[in-house]
Amino acid sequence: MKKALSIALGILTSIGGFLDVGAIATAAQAGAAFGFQLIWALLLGTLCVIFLVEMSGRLAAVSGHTLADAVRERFGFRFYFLQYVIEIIVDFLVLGAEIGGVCIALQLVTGISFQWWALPVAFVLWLLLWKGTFGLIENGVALLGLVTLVFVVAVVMLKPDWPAVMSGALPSLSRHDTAHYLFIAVSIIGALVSPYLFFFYSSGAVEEKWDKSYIGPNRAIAVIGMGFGSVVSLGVLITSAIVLFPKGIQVESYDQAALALVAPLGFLGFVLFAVSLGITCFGAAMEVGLDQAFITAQAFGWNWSESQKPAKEARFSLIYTVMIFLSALLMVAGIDPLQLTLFTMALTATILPVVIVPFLVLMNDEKYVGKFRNGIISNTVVVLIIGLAFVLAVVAIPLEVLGGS
Amino acid sequence: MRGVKPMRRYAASLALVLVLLAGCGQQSPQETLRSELQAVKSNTAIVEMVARNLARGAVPQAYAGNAIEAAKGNLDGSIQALSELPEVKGNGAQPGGLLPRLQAVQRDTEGLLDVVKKGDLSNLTPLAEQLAKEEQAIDEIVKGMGIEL
Repeated sequence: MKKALSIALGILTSIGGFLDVGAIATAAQAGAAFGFQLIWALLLGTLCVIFLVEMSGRLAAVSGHTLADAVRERFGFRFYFLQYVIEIIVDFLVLGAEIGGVCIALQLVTGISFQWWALPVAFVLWLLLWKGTFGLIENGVALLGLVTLVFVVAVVMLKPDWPAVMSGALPSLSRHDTAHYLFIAVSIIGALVSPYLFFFYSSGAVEEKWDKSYIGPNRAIAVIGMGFGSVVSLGVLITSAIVLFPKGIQVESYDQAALALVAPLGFLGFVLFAVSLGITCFGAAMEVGLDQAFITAQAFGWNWSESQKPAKEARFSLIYTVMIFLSALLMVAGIDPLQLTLFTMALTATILPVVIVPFLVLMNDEKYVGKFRNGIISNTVVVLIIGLAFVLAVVAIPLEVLGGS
Repeated sequence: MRGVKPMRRYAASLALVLVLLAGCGQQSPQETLRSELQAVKSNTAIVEMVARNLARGAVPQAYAGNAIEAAKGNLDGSIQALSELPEVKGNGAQPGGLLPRLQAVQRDTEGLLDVVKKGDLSNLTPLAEQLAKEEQAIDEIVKGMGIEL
């Protein structure tokens, strides 16, 4: 009974926690600029993240290692350190973007510029990590994140042309703005397949003392939770495609994205957009902040646990304290949150091979996962999607920066 | 010094890729025309949509003011860039051409921003409708130029 409840809670938190600033921004931009045409990228990203989340839980449950721990042990400290530096830089940018998402939500509601909210948001974030436990962070915020189901409700109310929606599931090239199209496709995959998720998930599983009996529940959480979570992302894309695309509106800031929910739901839609953006970004910011502390502590062999008092893990707590305030400075400096988000998500796609290839090696190593090794399907799917995202990112990022078409 | 030569080769290949991509990155005047017209269309639609939603009480006034002000900034930039292009400078500057229509959009947007800032919401809908008419006229001119947005 207890395990069934744990599965249900895990699935609900996966749905509620699926969206973050990257998922909202990329899906809204995709729908507004290209209608339903980029649904395929969202589906590919979801498929990949389901496999990878399941793998990180399986690794923790069978080997008792977090992903960071296992990479350091298997490939040596020098290799892990390289991966760590790359990951910490990307996490820094992602955290800045998530804090930016919360600030924009507050700007929408109050009219006060997002820059003024950065430090207060960082303080509340830090305070919750300092005082809260892992359970509170993972379950509390993610359950509140179920408010994002409003995007699914909006889709139902807008009555989309389903055959047109389904046609977006087949990959195709855009007739115009090809560079931007590829850039958004890469950003969607980068937003969904965020490496911090796997480090965080495996750390959580070790912290909650998962064993082999969790292999089934882990699979259910990954498949059902992430699968339904992606439905919410799809809701953002479809809503934008129906409301903004026909008017030629290209989402250049988050406040423009809010209009997609205002059309079907009026003022309630406006409020729920702000609440969804605020809660999901706040939850993701807590996870990314913690992830930075997890991977640093695991790199250097320090004590780590979110459920312990900060005094017992001073270095662990110091890392998230410093990183949260440093990332908040990106917003204080006035960097555009949407541009930061899109750039960071595309950048994430370029670092995926550095994180995922060693991860796959571990998942095929009997020493770590015994008979629970990866099958040919999971290896092939992950390699193909990560390879595609990497190639697209290498081509699309310079073209987007240089303004090509 | 093992590894230096491969590193040089890698750096040279990377430089070549970047040069090629930089070549692809140069926008032609036609592409600039299209992308700026697209920006005008997008920002005009935003202003109109925000104004209509403010009129029906679906968005707060502070939000509407910020959104219209940001869109106006983008519109001003795009219209400035368009007014320097030969396609818009020549025939487009004649009465009934593209440039006067773009300037009308600018005026309507300024009018809407003023109304929102003063809180005179009764004038929102007529101004939004006027803006929609200008938007439609621009669409037709752009279609006539053979540009698909």
